Amino acid sequence: MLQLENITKKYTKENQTILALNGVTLKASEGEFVVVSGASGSGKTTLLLAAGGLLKPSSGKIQINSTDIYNLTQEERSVFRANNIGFVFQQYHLIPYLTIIENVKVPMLANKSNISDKEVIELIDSLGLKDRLHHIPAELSAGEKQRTALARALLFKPKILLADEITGNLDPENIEIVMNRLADFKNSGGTILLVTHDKEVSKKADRIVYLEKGEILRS
Amino acid sequence: MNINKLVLKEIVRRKLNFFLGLISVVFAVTTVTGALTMLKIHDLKTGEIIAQKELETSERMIILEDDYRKIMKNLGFNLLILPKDQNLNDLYADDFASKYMPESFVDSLAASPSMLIRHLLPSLQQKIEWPEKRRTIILTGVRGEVPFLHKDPKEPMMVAVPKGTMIVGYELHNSLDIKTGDELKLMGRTFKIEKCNEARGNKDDITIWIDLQEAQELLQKEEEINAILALKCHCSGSDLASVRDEVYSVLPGTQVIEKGTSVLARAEARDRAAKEAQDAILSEKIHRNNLRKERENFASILVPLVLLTSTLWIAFLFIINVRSRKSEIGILRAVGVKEISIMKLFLYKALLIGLSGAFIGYFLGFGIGSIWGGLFSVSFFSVSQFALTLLFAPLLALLAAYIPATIAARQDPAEILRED
Repeated sequence: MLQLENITKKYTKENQTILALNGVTLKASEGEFVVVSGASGSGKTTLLLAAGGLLKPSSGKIQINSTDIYNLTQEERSVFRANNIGFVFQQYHLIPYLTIIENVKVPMLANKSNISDKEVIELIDSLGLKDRLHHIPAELSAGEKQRTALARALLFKPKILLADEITGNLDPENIEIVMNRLADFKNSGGTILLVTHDKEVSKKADRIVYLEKGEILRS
Repeated sequence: MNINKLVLKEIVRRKLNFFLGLISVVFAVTTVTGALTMLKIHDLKTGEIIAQKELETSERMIILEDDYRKIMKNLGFNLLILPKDQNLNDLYADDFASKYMPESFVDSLAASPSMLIRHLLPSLQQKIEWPEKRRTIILTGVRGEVPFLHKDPKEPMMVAVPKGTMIVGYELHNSLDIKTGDELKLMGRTFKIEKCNEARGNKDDITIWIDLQEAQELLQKEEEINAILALKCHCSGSDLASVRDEVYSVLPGTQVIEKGTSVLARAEARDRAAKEAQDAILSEKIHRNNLRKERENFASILVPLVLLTSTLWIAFLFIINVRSRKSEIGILRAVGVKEISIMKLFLYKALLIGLSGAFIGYFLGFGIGSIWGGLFSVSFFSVSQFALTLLFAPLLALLAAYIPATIAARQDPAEILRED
């Protein structure tokens, strides 16, 4: 379970304090698919990064399965992230000199759990990329890149998947593939926090949270 | 998937970045190795040149000394020990001494531990009328070389005239038609002609040499002589005062004059030649040392400059590398890769650049240094120097990459991921 309690995040930029998140409280249970929606600059990505242990909030507490992630040291948080959280971003962040199978295996740099090549290939196959195993990202379409990024996030079967505008660059066919895979993840007990503007995608969520100026308007 | 594989994949992907870093290390190692090899060759060549010059000098000195010995032998003696009361004007006018001293003087000198005189030849000379032939002659009695008691016997420079025989100067035997083997009377005593000398162009041509004792008897000068010819040691050409002091300490009743100036001049020339040869060697040493210093100075400026430039260049390349890999660093941090692993991504690459550069640069520098030094030999290859290169070149690359690697590891992943 993901639990955010009264999260505030302040930035100081050119002597001005910007309140990116203001007292955000949010819970997402196991097997729950939560969409975070809102205008640009409303704090969606900040919320996602804070929930993933990458951006320490100015105040408040974030717990994942009862672990206060910001009570951990940076090194411990890295290990925790490797074991529990999957990230997918709109810009994919694939490593350009690695093949698809190698990109999917990148989390193995942090997580020493043993996963066989067969399991990795099955995961990639489940996203329709079996023919692309040994291609590099530059040889893939946007949809294929995003599916590769999703495969990478799902490699260690994380408890929580944090996704930021992952359908923004995709055509309907690829959106369907990605959403089906998210549904599978949710059905297997995973928690999804998806930032999106796409109303069609939002319809598939269990719950939609609207953010405005760093505050939750409604959910 | 592991860090090493990621490093190798990145190198293959970004060949230019790796290649530029490699060139930098190769350049630095080549410069250092080249300079060291060149200096090593310089030292070896210096040793060879000096050894060759010393050998040449030594050979020249052996020839000079041999010439000197021959010259000394041909010219006779270079010192004349005379009775103290001998008037030198008379000596120079008559070309022989007219005063006498005991023959025992020569034995006293031979018994002394002389360091400077090598050969002693006592003689008794007197200008007389050869009654049987009515000719003025110089009768010279000699007993050959008197050996020193305290020295190893040397080959005598002049042998004695056997009793009952005589050696006749050129003018005498030529004008009187005397032949070797003839028997002649001198002052009533019969002598057999032992040898007829070649022309010498001096008083020797009117001289007759007989045994010293016989001469003493004929001239009624028993156990007396009037000169000791002394041949000074050839190892010193300008220490007449020392020789005099040595003679006076044994024979206070004598005087010592220099005879055979040309011998001394040649001895001095020999010494001068030896000194010039030594000076030439010294001059060559100075020249080679100066050349080494020039090369050392050049290397001492060039090497640090190249090392500094290479370090800065590698650091610059790694900063560029870090900037171009921001997205990669962001996602690696997001998936849980630790800071230290991010650092390893860059430091392992630096290590590979350093090791490859050390390997290539050492052999390149070895070759260039050999060409520069003008001598190629595998004996200049130093395992310890190679090992040190394999240690220090990677250290240099690691040092250069450390700050960029730290910057990479400390980048805020949230900031990177948000920017994208």
